[in-house]
Amino acid sequence: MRIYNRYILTLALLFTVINVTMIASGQTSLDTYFAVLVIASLVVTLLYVYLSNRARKALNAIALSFFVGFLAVVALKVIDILYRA
Amino acid sequence: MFGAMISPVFYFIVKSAPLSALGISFLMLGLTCIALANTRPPISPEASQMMLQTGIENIAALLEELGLRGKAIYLPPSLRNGRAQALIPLRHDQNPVQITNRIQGRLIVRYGHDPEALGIAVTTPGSICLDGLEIQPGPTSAELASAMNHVLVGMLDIASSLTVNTNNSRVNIEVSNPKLSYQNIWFYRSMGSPLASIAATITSEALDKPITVTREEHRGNKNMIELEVLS
Repeated sequence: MRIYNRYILTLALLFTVINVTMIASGQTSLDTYFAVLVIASLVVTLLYVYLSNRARKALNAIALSFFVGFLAVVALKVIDILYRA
Repeated sequence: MFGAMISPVFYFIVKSAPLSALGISFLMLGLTCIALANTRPPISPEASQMMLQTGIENIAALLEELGLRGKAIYLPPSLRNGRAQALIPLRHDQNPVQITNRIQGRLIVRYGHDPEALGIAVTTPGSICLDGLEIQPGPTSAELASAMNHVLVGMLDIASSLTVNTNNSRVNIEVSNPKLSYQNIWFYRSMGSPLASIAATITSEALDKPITVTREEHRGNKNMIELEVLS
């Protein structure tokens, strides 16, 4: 199995496990789901250190867009907390 | 695309966070697949294999025509005008090859003061692979393993993993699930298999010393490669 296939398979399995676990634990906040999925994606990308430079650059660009989404979720939460206070 | 379509439907119409999360997972996987697909080289594996085979057959023909039976010596870039290459000595005696100074950038080269110290210098697959390394590999076992994993597993995808052990002047490499196996042909006996050739080139670059492939063995789904560091 090629390293790219292993990477995609790892991500798919991890996303499945995360979604099933969070659904089973009764999580209903989409922000939490998104944050956990983004963190899992970043961790798996970091663990696959031997991907080629081109693949790494592409994955870094994707990770950056996920991270921007994650920051937006965090910013909305902070604004929400500040408004409540 | 499927994830991008179903996420808003599940979130705004069905009002289900878990199903929306499932859509987001599809979207993230889809974007990752598209990104990885775009990084694949435009040339097909069949074309790459054809070119590798052509290169091997041309060098094999040259070696056979000249009757060269000696083991190739992998030279670091510092000994060969900035590009790693392999030197195959013309003489077949058992005397250790002494490379005294930088070798000229030609096909037929002189590598010592002895009038018979002549050989041919050829570019190997490993020489080209070194361009893909962002930083020069270090001399420790871990640094060598990291550089070889980067090239053989990540860049070329011709093995699933490997380990490196250094012991004085010997470097032992254990390659798991190699996709290019050793064949008992003239080219491989002289230069080593493409795997050994790449490993030897990376080691010579890391240690900045000439290297030769002393042994190659196939055990189960593993390739054992032994390299010798020449002084």
